[in-house]
Amino acid sequence: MEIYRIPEDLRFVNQIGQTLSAEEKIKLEIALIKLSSTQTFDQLLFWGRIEGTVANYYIAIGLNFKNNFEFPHKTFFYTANLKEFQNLPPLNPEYKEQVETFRQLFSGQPEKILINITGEDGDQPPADQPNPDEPQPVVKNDDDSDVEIKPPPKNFLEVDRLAYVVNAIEFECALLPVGAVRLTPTHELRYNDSFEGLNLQEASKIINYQHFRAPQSPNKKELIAQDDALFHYDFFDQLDDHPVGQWSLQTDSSKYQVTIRNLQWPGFLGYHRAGTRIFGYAYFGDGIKNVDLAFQL
Amino acid sequence: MDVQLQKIFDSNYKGKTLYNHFCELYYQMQENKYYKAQSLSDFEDLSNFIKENRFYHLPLKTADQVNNLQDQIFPWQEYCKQQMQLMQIKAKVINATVQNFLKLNALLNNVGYGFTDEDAYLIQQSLKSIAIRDSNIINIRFWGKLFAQNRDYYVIEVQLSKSYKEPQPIDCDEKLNEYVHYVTQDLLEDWALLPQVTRKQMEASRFITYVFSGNLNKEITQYPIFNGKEKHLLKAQILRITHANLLAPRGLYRFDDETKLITFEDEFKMPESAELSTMDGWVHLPPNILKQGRITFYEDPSLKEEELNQMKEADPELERLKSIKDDKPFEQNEGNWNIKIFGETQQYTNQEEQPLSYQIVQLRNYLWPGAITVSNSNDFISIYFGYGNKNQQNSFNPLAPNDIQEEPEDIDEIPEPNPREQPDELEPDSDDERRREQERREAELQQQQE
Repeated sequence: MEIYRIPEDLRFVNQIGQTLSAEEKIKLEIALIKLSSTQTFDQLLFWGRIEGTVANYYIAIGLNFKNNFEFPHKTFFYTANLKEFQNLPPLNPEYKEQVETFRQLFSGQPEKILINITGEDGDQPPADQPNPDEPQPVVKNDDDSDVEIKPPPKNFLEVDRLAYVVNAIEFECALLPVGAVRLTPTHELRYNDSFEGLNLQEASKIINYQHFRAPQSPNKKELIAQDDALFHYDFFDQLDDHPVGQWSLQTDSSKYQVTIRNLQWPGFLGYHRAGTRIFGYAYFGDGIKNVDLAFQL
Repeated sequence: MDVQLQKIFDSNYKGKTLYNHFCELYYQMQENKYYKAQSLSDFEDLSNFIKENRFYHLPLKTADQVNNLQDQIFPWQEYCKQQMQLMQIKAKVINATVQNFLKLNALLNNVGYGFTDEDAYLIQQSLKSIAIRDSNIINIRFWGKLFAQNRDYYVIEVQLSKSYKEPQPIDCDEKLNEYVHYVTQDLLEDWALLPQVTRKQMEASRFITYVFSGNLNKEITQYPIFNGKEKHLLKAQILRITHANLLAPRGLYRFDDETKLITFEDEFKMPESAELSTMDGWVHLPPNILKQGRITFYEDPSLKEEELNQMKEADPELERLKSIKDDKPFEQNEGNWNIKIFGETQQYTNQEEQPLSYQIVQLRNYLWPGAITVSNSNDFISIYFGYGNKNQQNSFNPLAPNDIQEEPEDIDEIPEPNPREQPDELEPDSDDERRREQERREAELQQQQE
């Protein structure tokens, strides 16, 4: 969601019954302006809000298009108190499977310990953890003195879980209408200035939307590497992930405003107004993946 | 006609009026010695030529386009018409308690939920239109929005003074169908009434998890088998959500044990904000639904008493107007409800030295994500936004189908008896039998003769 258009774009989010209160909007605007003054990005977007039991997390993305081959670099920021945005920590791939089993709501306290590794006094790990105190691979210093010293094991904090969830949602869900971006001859991504929006018929077909991530399927990877990729607009992955049926495209009464939702991450919303350059996506939810989708369809 | 002609004469296209064009034509006809316009076709050619060269040419319409000019509907026309109709709904008197959704939506917006003001206005008009439709309605409120795969459902809940008597199997509870629901998929279109559910359907809905497709008449293919279409499951889920989440502040209602009715308390004073922001201040308004799918326990006459008692113990009826504090706690949380405070938390005192607070309390249900109750010191609203499923802490485990039955043991085969001689006729055992044998033989003979 463009940060200068938050009040107007919120009407799309109203389709899922969510919105930002006046207080949230004011604080968010100030925090976003502060962020954009300290760091320079090509574009700063408001990503969404994850509701917690005590406080909510507000996430922003900074995109850097220039000097990045084929896909812009995304940097994530979060804030829980809407005072100042902080960088989201980098992903630690060790905990990937465990995070997917978390079904507790976020609490809103970034420093809350979810997996206790160091054995310090902290919160008890949640009940559905298989082996919370599974030790990290311990470096045997007495055997080999050439072994590299691994960093001391850290607790898995709520901030880390947040990083996973935000990255997962961004990877699986972020979307754009076809034609909204194009490649320059140097294979950098740019917004397409001559994009006038999809027309009324095209806007309600899901084939006219594509993922906003570096292409994963082999034919799209080929397409984007070709020299004439700058003449095509559909070089990103189609929205045809498994399980099939996880995408839900709906229009409002006037048929001009289209929202695309993902059923695996209830709360994610991509939107577009036909005939205009208004498009974007946002996440307003509790950050829990719906893994039962295969049973529900 | 004159007005129309005058309009044509005065109209201009790219700065050129009809007069300009005629001047140009006249000038060309005078000046251009090479083109002698002598007939109508020459005149038209010259006119076209001038238009093309002066860059204000418009291609001629084909016959189809001219004939269909009337049918080119402005794409927004249908939408504008429907919306105008909805906005103009008015009635002289409405004898029902219609929720003031327009005002309550502003309350929802303050906690980060709710609709835009425009949508809230349309919903208010829809509430009115349903209230006008049926004079039996006592109470009408906007229940919430159920998301579906293809088209979402907006739901309105209604309480009637006389309920419709649909024929139902004996084990169903009439009281369960006290709340009646209307759904629509587009606020500008008509509302459909959801059918009543039976006890078996309520029981079965507890075992499946389903994302609604958006088609009310879709068959549900899940295991264990749910006997009904999507509209029945929709109604069942709506009832479960209502009975688990509709809250009222303590002291607003009173439950009369003799008449078993809920009535308003005589002297009601909304509890203090401090109390409303804890779980003590709220009670469940509708009764609890048993696992059996009813409100009161059904004693199936075909079951034995021990079985019935066992079932009863596993499925106890709970008292009415129970505090939400006693709800089964969800995982490690205390209780089932998350309470947050929004808005202005400043404590004021008004002129009578009474504390005044503008803070807004939001209660969220852990078990049913999407069900919230919001209140300030004057109003409260319970609403649902979600897909209609519980928050299962463990991944959904479908019920396993019954064990496959073992095949019965084969009976020993014995060879067919084929004796060489006809067996002796047996003597009949009694006189009756003898008589019957004789009658049978006579009947056979008669048949053969016929």
